[in-house]
Amino acid sequence: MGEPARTPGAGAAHGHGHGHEDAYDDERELRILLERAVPRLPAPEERLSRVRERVRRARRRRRTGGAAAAAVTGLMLAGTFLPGALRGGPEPLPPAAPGPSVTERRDPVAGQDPTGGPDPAPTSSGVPFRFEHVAGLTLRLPEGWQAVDMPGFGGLKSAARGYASSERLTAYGQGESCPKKAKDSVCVPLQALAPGGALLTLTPVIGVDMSGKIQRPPELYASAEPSEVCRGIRGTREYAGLLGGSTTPVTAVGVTLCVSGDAPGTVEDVRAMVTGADFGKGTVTTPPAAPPPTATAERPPIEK
Amino acid sequence: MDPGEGDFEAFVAARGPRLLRVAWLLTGDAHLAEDLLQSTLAKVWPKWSRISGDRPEAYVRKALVHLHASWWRRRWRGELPYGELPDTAGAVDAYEHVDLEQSLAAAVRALPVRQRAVVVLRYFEDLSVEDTAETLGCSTGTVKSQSARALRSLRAALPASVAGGERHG
Repeated sequence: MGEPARTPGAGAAHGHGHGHEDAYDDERELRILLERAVPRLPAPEERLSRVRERVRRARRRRRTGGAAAAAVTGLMLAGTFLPGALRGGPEPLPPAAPGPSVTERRDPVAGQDPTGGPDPAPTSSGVPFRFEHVAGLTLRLPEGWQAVDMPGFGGLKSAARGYASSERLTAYGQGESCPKKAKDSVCVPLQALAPGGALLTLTPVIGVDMSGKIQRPPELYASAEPSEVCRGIRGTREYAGLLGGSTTPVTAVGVTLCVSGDAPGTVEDVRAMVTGADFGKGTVTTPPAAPPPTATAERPPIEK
Repeated sequence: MDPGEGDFEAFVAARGPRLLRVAWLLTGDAHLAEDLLQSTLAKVWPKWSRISGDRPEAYVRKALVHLHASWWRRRWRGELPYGELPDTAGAVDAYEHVDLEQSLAAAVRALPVRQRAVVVLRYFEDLSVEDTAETLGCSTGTVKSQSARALRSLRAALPASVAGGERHG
């Protein structure tokens, strides 16, 4: 420790300009001391490669965030433009538009009775289920899963929705009691998920160009936290994605997956199911070589 | 290789050491400084083709200072305190073994983040009041007042031989 140097530093000329000699000297001295005080740290050899990797990660995050945001936006738009799709129960509904009856909603493609009983019929493993009211989307449901195809309940802005679940689903119709009323009077076709259970919701997006938001193959992205609707049926995790629409006016189908507890196999099954989604007329969201629904090997992990 | 990557690498090679020292003065930690510098470079690299022709160092320095400020806002509760510095010149005896320059660096780090940035830019990076104001996005008056406060704090916190203490004492 010694007396600090008194020679002016490079920036002394800037000064304060207020003419105080002491202040000027203080600043000059401070510059010199700072220059001496700050160590000359070695640069790591891999600095640029680390920076490059950070850039890559940031781009990946932006893509992931953008896709997730697009999925959420799609769902929100669907909710905005097409409210009332799930509104049922005691609330008065908009005047009924001509539409299919409750029984007609359950519209399995194969092996199902289209005019069956009040409960949705479970599908067998890999049996395709066509959601007629969701752009004709066909999914191959995992073994033991059930599906319900719900039309809109009247009104120009009403929306159809499709559900698939590992749990027993309860179909409901206009004016019928709602199995589970969630946030904003959204009606969900089951009371609660059992541990390990999952509910897949399909929401058509109509009239909004989502072409730039759709990924092929489609991805499911983990939400930061489950939505209120998902939590309302005891869901603990939620995933969202967008499927490409093939028919106008449906431009995309929003997909949300609500899961209760740990269900890695279930999530993988759903991912495979979504990857193999088929809009009919040969429009498949992924190449035909997509893995079978129940296979779990060699699938890219769902982003957590 | 991305467009302009060669320029960017040359810039990092040439100006990286200086920017790292700025980062060290802001963060007070070599690892944090490297982290801050790399984070800053990662932010500016994708825009390099747009900024490389127009005072890139000023742009990168500004990005670094602002990124540090955002870190500080997010992490300030976890920031290591530097309150062990002597508050007055009278406490200097207990710190005779402390190197003067280390004391100065610690005193700078003990400054409020805005004053610290002003000191680093004005007295380490040798920027004018106007350039400091532009970098921080504030008025020249703010830079002057923050400089004055920072100098007062440094005088009070450091041994008398620093920051003109001997002359004033």
